[in-house]
Amino acid sequence: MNQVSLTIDSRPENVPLVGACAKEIAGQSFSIDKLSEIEQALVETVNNCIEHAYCGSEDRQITIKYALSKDRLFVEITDQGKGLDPQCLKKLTAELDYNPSDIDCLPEGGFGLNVINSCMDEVNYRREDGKNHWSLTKFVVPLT
Amino acid sequence: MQIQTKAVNGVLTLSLDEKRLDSKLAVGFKDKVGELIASGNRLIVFNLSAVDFIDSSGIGCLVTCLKLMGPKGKITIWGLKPPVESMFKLTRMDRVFTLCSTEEQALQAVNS
Repeated sequence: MNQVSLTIDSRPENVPLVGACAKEIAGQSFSIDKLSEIEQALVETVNNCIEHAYCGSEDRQITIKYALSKDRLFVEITDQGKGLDPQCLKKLTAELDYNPSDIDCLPEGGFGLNVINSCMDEVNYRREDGKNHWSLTKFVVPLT
Repeated sequence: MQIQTKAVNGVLTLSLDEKRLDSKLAVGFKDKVGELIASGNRLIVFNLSAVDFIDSSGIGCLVTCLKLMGPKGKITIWGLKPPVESMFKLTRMDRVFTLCSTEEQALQAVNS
């Protein structure tokens, strides 16, 4: 197993590092499409930490721990911000249900959790020791 | 933020010369396009062929632009790379925006 840990300040300009690091670590284990999905999920998760847990504060820390093994990439993202409303977890699996013709009612946000869930094989959240812990797993599909 | 604009026959073509349309860029992008909409543009073609990555903030700011234009507004988008197109599909925004392969198709679609 190969493990890497990255800690960033909660600034939007640092977010691309999180995806780039995943691609560097897991580049040999996943297809380009799967790496894009991993990047998408990690970016959305870290964006949520900044926007919701830290309410946009830029001087807080987010830790991203990557663990690549033969069959999976496991990523844990931890912040020390505000806890998540458990009701929000429903958004992970909720259908994005809106009328595309009703322009005034189109959602301008709120996609993040749904995207994270769609892009990863397993997504878990827990609140522990005053911290938010997001665990994201992508399984390696053997090339045939 | 690098945006090239060109207005031809009432259509504003807007080329985003950035690799990422994400939370870092979203507010500035919304402000810039918002100014162009406030000055009367209602038909916009976005060229996103330089963009490698879009997050939900980027998708959200395109929705904001559409709303700012009101009922007479129309946006078509072309040049989506696979990860960017996937994001439109994941958020189901491929049903809201007309997505085209080429600028020619996008110009035709925005005028139709």
